[in-house]
Amino acid sequence: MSLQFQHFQTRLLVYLVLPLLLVLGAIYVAVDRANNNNANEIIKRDLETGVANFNAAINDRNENLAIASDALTGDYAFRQAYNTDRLTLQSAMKNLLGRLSTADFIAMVDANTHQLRVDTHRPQLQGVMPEWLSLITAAEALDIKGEYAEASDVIVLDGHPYHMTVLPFLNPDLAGWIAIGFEIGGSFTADFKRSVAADVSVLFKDGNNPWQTSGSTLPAPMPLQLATVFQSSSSPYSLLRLGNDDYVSLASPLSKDGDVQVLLQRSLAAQLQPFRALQQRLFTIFAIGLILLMSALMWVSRNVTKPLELLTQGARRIATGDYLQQVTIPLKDEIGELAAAFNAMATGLAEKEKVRALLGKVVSPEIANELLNRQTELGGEEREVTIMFTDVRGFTPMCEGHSPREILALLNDYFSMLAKVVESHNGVVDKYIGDAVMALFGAPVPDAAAPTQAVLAALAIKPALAVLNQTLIARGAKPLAMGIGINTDRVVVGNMGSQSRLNYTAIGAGVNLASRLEGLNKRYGSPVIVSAGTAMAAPLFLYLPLDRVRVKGKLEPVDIFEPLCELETASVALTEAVALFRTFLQQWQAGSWPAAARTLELYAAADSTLAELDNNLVTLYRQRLQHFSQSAPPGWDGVSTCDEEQVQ
Amino acid sequence: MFRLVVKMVVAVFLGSLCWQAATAATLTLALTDQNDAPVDDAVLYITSIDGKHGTPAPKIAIVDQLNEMFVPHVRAISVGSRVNFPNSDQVRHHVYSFSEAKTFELPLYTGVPAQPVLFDKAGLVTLGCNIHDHMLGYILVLDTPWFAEVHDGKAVITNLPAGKLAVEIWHPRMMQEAALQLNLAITAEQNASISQRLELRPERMVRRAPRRAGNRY
Repeated sequence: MSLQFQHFQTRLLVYLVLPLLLVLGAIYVAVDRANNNNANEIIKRDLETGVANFNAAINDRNENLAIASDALTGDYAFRQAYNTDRLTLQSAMKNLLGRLSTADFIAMVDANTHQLRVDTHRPQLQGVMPEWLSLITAAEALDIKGEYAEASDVIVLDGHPYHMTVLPFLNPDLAGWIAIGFEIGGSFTADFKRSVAADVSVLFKDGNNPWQTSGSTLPAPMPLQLATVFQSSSSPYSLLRLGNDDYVSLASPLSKDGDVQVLLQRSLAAQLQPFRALQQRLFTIFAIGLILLMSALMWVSRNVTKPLELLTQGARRIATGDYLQQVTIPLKDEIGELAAAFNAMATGLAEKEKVRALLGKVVSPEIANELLNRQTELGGEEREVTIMFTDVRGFTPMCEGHSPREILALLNDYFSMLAKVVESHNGVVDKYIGDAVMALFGAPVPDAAAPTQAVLAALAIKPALAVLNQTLIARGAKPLAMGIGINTDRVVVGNMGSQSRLNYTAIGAGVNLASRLEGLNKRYGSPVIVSAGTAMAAPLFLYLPLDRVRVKGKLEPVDIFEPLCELETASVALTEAVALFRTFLQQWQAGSWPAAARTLELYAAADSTLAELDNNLVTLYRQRLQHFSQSAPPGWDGVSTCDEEQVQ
Repeated sequence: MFRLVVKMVVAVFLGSLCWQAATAATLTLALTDQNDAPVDDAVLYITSIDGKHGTPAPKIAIVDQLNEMFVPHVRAISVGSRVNFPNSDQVRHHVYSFSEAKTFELPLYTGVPAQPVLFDKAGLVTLGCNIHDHMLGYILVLDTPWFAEVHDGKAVITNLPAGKLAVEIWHPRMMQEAALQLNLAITAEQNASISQRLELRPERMVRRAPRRAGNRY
């Protein structure tokens, strides 16, 4: 089972305080148990001594009585009286009882008939068998064996426990049995209590009646309570609850049948009094120790968790990109080392981020990432990429009359605008060539929507340029005009250059074509020209077909288009105008020039009313029609050759 | 002990020897206890012969007091006999009896009392000394002339007439309550002998057994 903790402090407390608590608890319980056992042992030992003393006291009294009785009944006068009338004997026995101060009664039984002759306790009684006949039989049994015929027991007479001894009366031969009894009650136990540190109670049971107490030294009403809670069991020891105290009690049978018992008791609480004080002190020490330990643990855990919190905050700051703040922990231990390592890491990260940011400024962020994340090595791959070239119209003449600083500021504004638009369409500015810009779509990250994104970017540049131009006009500068060429083709992309200086770029015929298309804008008066490849790859735009041209360095003629807007936003008039021009171009390419001339004029009417058609196609083709004198030259294939301007 | 110091007492049977001279038969008793030890201090007597009681023959007998003991321990006499209680000790004795057959006392005395005590009633007389609790003696007063004290397990009654005898044996410590009764026939030619075992209980312990170690003084 593994425990999960929210706080280090909790973990420390659980792992250290809990075991300590268990140990302290175990010690406390062990001490408590030892004290209890000890107290019990002491009490038991004392009680055992007490019981032995009690029995000895009874024996002593009994023996003294027996000796005295022997002496007195051996008196000749008494012997004579025994053989006279009963009244005289009774009187003599009363006199004898007076001499035996510790006896409560004395009785005489005829040796032959076993009948009671005199009982000082019950003067009227005679001629009957006594209740303690068994004692006589026991004495007789001893006599017949030649032993001294004395038998003792504790018996209950008239609801009182008596210790009784039967002795032979020799006159001079065995004539009768003398019984002497004394009550084991109040005065006896009270006398005895003086010599033993315990409470003494005599419990007895008359037949099947419940237990009764006799001569208990316990304060009232405990003796009555004792009679109800006492139970004679196999174990002589018991723990009896009397009043509010537990009493360790030792019972010892006084009578042979166990119906009379002496019970010695001592209060456990009184015995434990000194131990309780000790326990209290122990408890206080434990509590103080625990509090000290917990304080120390909290101090330690705070010393650990506070730096950890600082480090966590630092890590969070780093996660949000703040690498510069350092964590200050004035410790020299492992935590201090961790903080130092953390700070070194932050510094390292900050440096790496600095490089990344700089790289992102020098090259586009995507290329920077590509460079940072992949292994930078020379080489490239052939991939379909959409290449965009832009150029500022009449940049060189515009530079005249401006300081280089002003021109640089102008260019930076222009490039920033351009880069923003390109990047917002997942494009990448590959390089700046003077006032020209080469941008890539679909590289370095392949993108199926790259052609569409490129055309969208080209369309978005127009309003962005308008905004830029407004600020330029406000600054007193001339507004900028620009041309854009876009081509989609399979080219090679990758890191090119030398091992020490790399440049991520694209090369191939497709790149050159894009550059040439950009240059064609001047001829057609169009802002954007895309190749047929791009137009087919990005079909969701309304394209105005411009011409079929053969560019330098490329044998195959290329259809070129000007993207006007997205199809879904195209107006009917514009769509119809574009259709009209497409018809014209087909007629023109087929060489049916009269028809073409007519169609051109129809288109010219539409062209003049539509702001979107911002070019000089009508003028260009009117000139071409005039130039060819109403008829196509021999070998006409409908392709315009343009090599008057070259890029790269 | 007094049993070891048995003194034979004389002159008890002198008369009977002459009376039964013509038909003299003899009854012999061999008496042992349960341990086959010969028994002392028992009394063998014949209550009737052919159903007829004999006429007691009173004599003068002696029960001495020697070393604080009655000697002999048991004395058998005929009714009407007198017993002298000479005191052979240096100390005085106070001989008494509360027995029904004879209640008497001889207060402290030395030497031979002036008058012997008359035992005129048959029965057992238990003797004690008032100043010596341990002194115990018995006088068996018999209503018959035919008796003998058993010494060393043996007793002999001579000069008996032939006939059917009712014989009794008594001992102060016999287990059974009454005297042992036997019936047998005897002829002049053929002496009868009885071999009898009598179960005796131990002597009564009179003094209290010492219960404490050490000297009481």
